Amino acid sequence: MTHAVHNRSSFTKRVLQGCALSVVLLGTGAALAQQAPSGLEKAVDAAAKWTAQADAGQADAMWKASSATMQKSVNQADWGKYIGQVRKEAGAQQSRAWLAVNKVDNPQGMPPGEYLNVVYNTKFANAATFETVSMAKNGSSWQPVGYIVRPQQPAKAPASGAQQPAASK
Amino acid sequence: MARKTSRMAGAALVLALLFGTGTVTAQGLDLDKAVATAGKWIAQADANQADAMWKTSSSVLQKNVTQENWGKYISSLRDKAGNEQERSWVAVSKIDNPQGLPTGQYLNVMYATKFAKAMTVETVSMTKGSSGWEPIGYVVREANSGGAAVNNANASKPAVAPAQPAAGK
Repeated sequence: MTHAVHNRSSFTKRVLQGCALSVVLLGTGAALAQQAPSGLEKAVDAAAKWTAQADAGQADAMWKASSATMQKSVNQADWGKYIGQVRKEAGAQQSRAWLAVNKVDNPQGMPPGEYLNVVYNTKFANAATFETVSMAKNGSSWQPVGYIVRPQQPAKAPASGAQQPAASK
Repeated sequence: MARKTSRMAGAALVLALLFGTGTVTAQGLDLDKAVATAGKWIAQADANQADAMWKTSSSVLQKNVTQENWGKYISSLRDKAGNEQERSWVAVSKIDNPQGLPTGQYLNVMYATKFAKAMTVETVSMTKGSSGWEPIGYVVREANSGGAAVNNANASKPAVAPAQPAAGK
């Protein structure tokens, strides 16, 4: 039991190290009255395709499909390393269930625009996780702009998680 | 403030909280329609059209709460919260197999809503019926100080219970 806890904790640490690559952006409270953005279904579909590419080890394809903002922030080689590291730690993907789409308003450090987090409950061989894919609106479509995998235990998801897009550095 | 909180909590007590389990993908859920329908429904609440709300709700809601009691519930909520001033969509999340409700598809659509007397998180629960997404519940919770503490759908549990309609008493 102690071992399990210890292992988990070190997994957490390692994943957090992986996340150190990522800048966590806080959304500010929105002052504008807002409807839900259009195309939620499209956003979720695009996020699903992207995570499938991660499952298939296609980090290059992920990078190419990502938003220009992400491509400017992280180069293709570093993205490959990030995905490789996350998957090495988590193990193979075993199941994934969509949980939620959260709006992120005015994330700091990101161009103005519409952002969503698409959140999955995902079981990997080594850990049960929450996967968050951040999406940015580009015209009428949504493009991935970030990806974070957090272990479900023992770390508690930050209370403000819904307000933060998981944006790569 | 504390008194208001307890009054809001009292209103929420009318509703049973349901937790779901299970896994489903988001594909084919038609999230956009669900959110649009939820938006129209709460606009009816703003306009004191509780009867119209009841009539457009799911038959499950209609069986659980009479039209008259629904009217009392809505007006009691609005008495406590005051007029709606600003509403921002924040999230849509999936609830699988909520206890005490028929098997089916359920979503929670959440808003950060400012009423004259309180910052709140409004949750409209939706279920997929024969004619598409239908409202099946409505809960207004007072947000924590600042109003930014919107319930976090990427937290480790479906922290957001779907709102079950008042049990008709």
